[in-house]
Amino acid sequence: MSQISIEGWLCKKREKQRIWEGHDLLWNQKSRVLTIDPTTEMGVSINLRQMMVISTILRLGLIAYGEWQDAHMEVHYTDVDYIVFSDAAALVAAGKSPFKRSTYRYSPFLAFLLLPNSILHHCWGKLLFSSSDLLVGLFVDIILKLRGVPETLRLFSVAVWLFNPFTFTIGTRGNCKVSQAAFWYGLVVHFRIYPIIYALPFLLVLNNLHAGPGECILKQWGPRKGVTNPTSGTSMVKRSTACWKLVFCPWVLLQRNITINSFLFGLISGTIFVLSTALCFKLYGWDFLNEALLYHLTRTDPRHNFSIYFYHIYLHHQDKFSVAEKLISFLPQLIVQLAVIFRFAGDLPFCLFLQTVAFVAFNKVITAQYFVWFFCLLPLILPWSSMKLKWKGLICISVWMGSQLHWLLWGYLLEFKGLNVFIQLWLASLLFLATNTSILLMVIHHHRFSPVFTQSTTTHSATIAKKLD
Amino acid sequence: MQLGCNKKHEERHFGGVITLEVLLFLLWGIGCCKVDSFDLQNDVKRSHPNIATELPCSQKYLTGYFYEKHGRQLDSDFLDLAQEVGSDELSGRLVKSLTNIFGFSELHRSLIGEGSHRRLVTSFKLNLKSNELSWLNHHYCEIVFIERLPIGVFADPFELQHLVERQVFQDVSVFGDTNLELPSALSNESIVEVHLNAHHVLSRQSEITVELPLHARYPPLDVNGYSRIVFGSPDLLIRCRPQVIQPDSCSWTLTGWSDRHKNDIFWLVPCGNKEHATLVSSITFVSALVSALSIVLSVLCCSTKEDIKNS
Repeated sequence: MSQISIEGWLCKKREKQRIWEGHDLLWNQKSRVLTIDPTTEMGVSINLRQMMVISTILRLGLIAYGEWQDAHMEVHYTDVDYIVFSDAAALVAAGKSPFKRSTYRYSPFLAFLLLPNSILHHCWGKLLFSSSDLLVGLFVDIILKLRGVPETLRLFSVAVWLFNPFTFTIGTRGNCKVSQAAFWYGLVVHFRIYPIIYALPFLLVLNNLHAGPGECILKQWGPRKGVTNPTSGTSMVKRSTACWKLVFCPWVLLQRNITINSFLFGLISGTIFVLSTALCFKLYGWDFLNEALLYHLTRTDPRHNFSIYFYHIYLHHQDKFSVAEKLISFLPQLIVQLAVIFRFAGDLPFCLFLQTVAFVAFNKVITAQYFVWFFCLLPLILPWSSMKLKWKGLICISVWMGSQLHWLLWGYLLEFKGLNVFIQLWLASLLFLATNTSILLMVIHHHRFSPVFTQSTTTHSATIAKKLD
Repeated sequence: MQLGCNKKHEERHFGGVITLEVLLFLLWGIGCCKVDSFDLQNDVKRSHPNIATELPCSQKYLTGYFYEKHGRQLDSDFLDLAQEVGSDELSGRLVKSLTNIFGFSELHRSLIGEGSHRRLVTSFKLNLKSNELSWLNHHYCEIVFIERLPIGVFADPFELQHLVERQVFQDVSVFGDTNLELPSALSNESIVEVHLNAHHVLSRQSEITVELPLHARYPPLDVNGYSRIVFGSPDLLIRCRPQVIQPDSCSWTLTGWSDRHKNDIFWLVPCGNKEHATLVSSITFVSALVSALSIVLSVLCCSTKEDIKNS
């Protein structure tokens, strides 16, 4: 969705773009020398088309394997949610409400999309979700190309998405969390609510686009810190710092941040959200509203999940939570979101990535599928990270996986062995939060802040044009 | 979600109200006790007379029929009602045939698996008098198995429906609280009704196994660390109708047996300890706050550093 928006903005600025493409060439040449570890390891022996073909074959193979495992083994490959979607689609095909399927908590549009599951073949949905995986890979490449990232680094980032075991297993097991990223924002918020957290950074970027005197252009990737356009970086940082002061003056904040663009963005996405929600409400009434929207806002699950709050919720599930308790648990979530937005909104992909990681880490319910929400943004920030795969990158990956496996061990003992390990499991959740926080701090520390858009100055463009001549 | 919860609370006494076995069945057989299973070995001596009744053919599920018909308004006197319904609607000849032709024996129960997902396995024998095969050829008969689940466990109706698609059962339905996510404290009992085609069973072998996949709910808090969920006994019925149906006067005739003495199968489900509440809540919130503040501080420091570098 953000990808589509960025593309839209770009259409207007094709002329300026040509100059920057030249700039891109310069960086490409330099990057042969300055390139970071992963790119040199991978080389340029594989192009995007080959990568797409390999990942398509991989996904088709896994879908076929899934069919075999489902038929022959007790533990099924297909995700339990996929069975829920398929049942809901079958109900729609029979002219009934998808909400007659208990635990169907999604937009009816998802059931409509999966109608061929009942008509053509039950693997239709898996093919659809896996195709959207590939589409996200394509978007990653397009966005990074627009931001001037050299080919090798771009391909590495695309591979991080396409060959991420979480991504391809979740897609082929029939989980649909990925496809949401390909929809328009208003529709996306209707589809899944969580992208509502991106509204504020979108608006801030839209405002910054038209805050200065010059025209805005896409800022290009550069291998060294502060080389590309230090002045715009400073102004963005200063603007961000100023934003801190505005947090405490909501009215000033509102006045400063309403421009025609942000107003239009809010109006259009809001209208789409309201229209699609109204349409579903007309079709399925309160069942839809309760299951697909209100459920997610009030969800407190006492059953074990990665969230640090699960045991607290379970220990209090027989009492009612006071308003103060609800607010206290919401507070850490809120302050992290505000801090990240006001500091990093200019660097939109990075801001969205941090927001999503933090949102998931502090959420009251966390399941493994939520991790895909930020995995799809990871390739968009890698080119700006100075963290090398050897060894810091590998350490981060191992620590993150390790703390997850540690949690899963206790989870297995509780759920599949029936042992009372609630305390151990809760401590494992705390450890997982600590891991997420540390990795987030590492990522922030190694990231080179790079606003997506920057104010063009005639002299700067002229210099580059001259160099190209 | 809240609306759903309230509804469930209203239905809380549903399980206690619909004790179908009193309506339909008699106590039958004396079993021998084991830790997690018991046997019923006698199919002749019955402690009470059979209670039998007739239902219109349009009524697919017995549980649903009695739930709709009597619902929550009934809270006692099931036996009286059963006798009343029975005496009005009995077709004496067929009932007599049913009770003479069929018998159940050798009931075994066990709980298979560990943890929160287990299978409740019930096996029994359906006995048919050998000289009554011609009678069976003129009738269509189904075995009806009714399991009343205690509050702490649930059966997933959609999972059971997939068993019907794989022809494990002829038909199956779950009545009562079918919410798959709520903990025991906010849930009600549920009843699973399974139908098996008696002709198919008899053509293969007389031993019948019903395997129900069950899942544990999160139990209420307890200082002992485990909550004990005890299963009652299932109700076994057989219902028959003539092979050739008269559309306006078709009715199922059914009779059944149950053993309500034994509560021998239990399931230990780990539960939270109320004494942990204060400590867990405090540490949870402090950890969340510390993590959040460390991210905020890091973001602030990052800004300051860049400000200095860029200025």
